[in-house]
Amino acid sequence: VKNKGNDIYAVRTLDFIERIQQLRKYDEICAHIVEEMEWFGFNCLTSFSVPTAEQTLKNCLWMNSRPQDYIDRYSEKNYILHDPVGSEVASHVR
Amino acid sequence: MIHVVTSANRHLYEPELLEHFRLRHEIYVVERKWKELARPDGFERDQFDNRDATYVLAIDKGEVIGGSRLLPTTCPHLLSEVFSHLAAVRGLPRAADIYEWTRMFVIKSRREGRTMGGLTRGLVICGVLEHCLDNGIASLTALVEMFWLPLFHAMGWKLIPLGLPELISGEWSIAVQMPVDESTLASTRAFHGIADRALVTVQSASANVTAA
Repeated sequence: VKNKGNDIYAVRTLDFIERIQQLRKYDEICAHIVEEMEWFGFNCLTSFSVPTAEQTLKNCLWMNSRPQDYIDRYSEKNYILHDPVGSEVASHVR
Repeated sequence: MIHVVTSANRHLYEPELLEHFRLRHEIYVVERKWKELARPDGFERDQFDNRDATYVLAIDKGEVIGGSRLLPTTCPHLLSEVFSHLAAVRGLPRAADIYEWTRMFVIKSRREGRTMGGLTRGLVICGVLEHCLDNGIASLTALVEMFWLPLFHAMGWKLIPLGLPELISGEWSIAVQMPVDESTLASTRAFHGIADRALVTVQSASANVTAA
């Protein structure tokens, strides 16, 4: 994505942030994020903080639109240890 | 404790201002390694440290312990001259009641955590806000490193992105506009546990200095 005024993705991103800033209810915020990500081609979205040694993934979920059995298995098998997204995030934790 | 220094009263603050430039060099060049700001004299000053600049300095018993710089957006400033592409999506707001906020620092011994809280930092921020409200400044623009965003949100600020973030000197940074009003000051004071006004009032060139 280029940082230019005529870039539709950049404009759309900032429009999205502005709309999100107006919302106050958890369900509305989640629904709006899922809807926006669908426009970009993502049909499932999970947001969670990186669990500490004492926490499970389920304790750290902020929002989720994946099927529950997917999350159950991911959590049960502790796939976060092998998830490249999780590793990338963990490497940036201060 | 917080002093506002402008071209009208800077003759009262020459030693403190010089020390503030030295601290900026120590913090930005030595500590944070922004090598492009390095100066052989050890004072970090750029083309925007001119008569238009306003400095908000935290001074404790004669020691400069923190500071910040405000620039009128009607004049050349960092976002207009150096990083204008970071505001290309929304456009750079420029008006008499919009100032650019840069170079906020607290000396190492007065910091409490990297991004959250800290009384000195809180006082500098409240000083900036009080100066804005005293002088009809309705909003600030700034190039903000992304790791500051949780702090601003926790303080109750509204940040309006002007473009997408970019990696600058190893940190993801974003250009934002930040509306300033009484509620911003109230929530910032509450966050830092500051009950009273932070600014010391200095009556321009008449040298009538009054602690408020």
